[in-house]
Amino acid sequence: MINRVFLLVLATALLLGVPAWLHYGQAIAMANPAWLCLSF
Amino acid sequence: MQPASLVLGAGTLILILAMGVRQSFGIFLTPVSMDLETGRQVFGLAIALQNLLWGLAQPFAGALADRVGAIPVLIAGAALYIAGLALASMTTDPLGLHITLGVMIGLALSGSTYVTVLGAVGRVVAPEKRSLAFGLCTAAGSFGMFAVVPGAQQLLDSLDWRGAWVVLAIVVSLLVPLALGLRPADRTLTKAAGGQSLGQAIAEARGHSGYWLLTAGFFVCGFHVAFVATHLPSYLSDQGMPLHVNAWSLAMIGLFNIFGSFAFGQLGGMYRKKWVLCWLYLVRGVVIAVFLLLPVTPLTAVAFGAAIGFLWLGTVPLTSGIVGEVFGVRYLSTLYGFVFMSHQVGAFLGAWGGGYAYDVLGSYDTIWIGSVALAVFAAVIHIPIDDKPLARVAEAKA
Repeated sequence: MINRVFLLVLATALLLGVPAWLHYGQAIAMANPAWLCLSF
Repeated sequence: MQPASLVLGAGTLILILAMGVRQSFGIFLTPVSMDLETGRQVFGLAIALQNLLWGLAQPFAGALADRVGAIPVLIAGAALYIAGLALASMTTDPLGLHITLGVMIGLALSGSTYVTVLGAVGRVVAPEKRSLAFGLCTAAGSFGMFAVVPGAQQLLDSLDWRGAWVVLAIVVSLLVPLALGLRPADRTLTKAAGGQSLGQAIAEARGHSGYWLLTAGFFVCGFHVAFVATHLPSYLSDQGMPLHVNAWSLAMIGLFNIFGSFAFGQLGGMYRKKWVLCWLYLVRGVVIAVFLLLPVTPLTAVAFGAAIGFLWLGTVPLTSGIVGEVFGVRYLSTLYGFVFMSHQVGAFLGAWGGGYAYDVLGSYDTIWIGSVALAVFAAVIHIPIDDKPLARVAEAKA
């Protein structure tokens, strides 16, 4: 069960994340140095 | 639905939302600072306050969750989170940002993230599946870094920062119904009443050398991730990397963090967690050293992001898993809360110390080398940890 939930989480992340990073990646990278908040 | 599945499902969704929204604050730095004409240090201080307060409040929020249950603590955390975001969207001065984004959301995170959720999950999942379940929860928190941050950027592009924070406050309000999914875990608290007291649990952990070593090791984890996340982009820019390489290195950290958190949770269920942690820290040291020795190219930058991302939060299921294994899960939120506080102090020093060292020395070299030394230190101090369950815990299990 746990493995299946993980695959679901991963698939959703990839499905949403990859196109979003392609589109917004540079804008996000430009927002640095505030990655303070991405950390830990 | 099985009680454990319900708690795990609710916990996973809670962490995706709570951590995802929190991880998106970085992209608001420039628009908020420009709009309020405050300079970047005001926003930076609000976030630093948030992280520090999150850590300092964590043992207390954890203790409250162990005493009255995860649901009230989560709902209170969510209410503070919503209020913090809503008020932050109306703020017009630095003090407002410090109070809302810094104090309110910092305190909110201590009630609505890992420590509360892992404590609840630990109480209902079978001991042999605990590490895997903790890995899943950590992976869910990591999801935010990869998938929610660009979503928040989209909100920022289509609305302004004030509108985006109102929408995020609405998203965070989903934590309230989700918290109710933790009910089976809270029911176990009344069943366990009459055993060890909270004070006794803390005294017991304080007298255990392994607990101190775990706490010291987690400080190093916080230092590493905060230093890398805060300063890697600037380091790459200094080395002449273009912005898209910078962006993909960050994306790789987020993506591989999902794999790593889950994989290390799984490894923790198969091998002794302290040895897995030793290897994790050692490999971190090797990855950083190799990155320093190789010339910085787009390939090495993105590969470093992937490698360090894989090793990012794998420490969470392993460290919290050892705490649960040795001391039992009755006061897991409290005991792991103290360990997490040390992580946040390390993180504060990693983020701030990295900038300070750069300003004084003119390069990041010293702090990179220091990070390798700290990785070796963390690997070594995990070796003598006595990870056997205490007699009290072993008896209860038998």
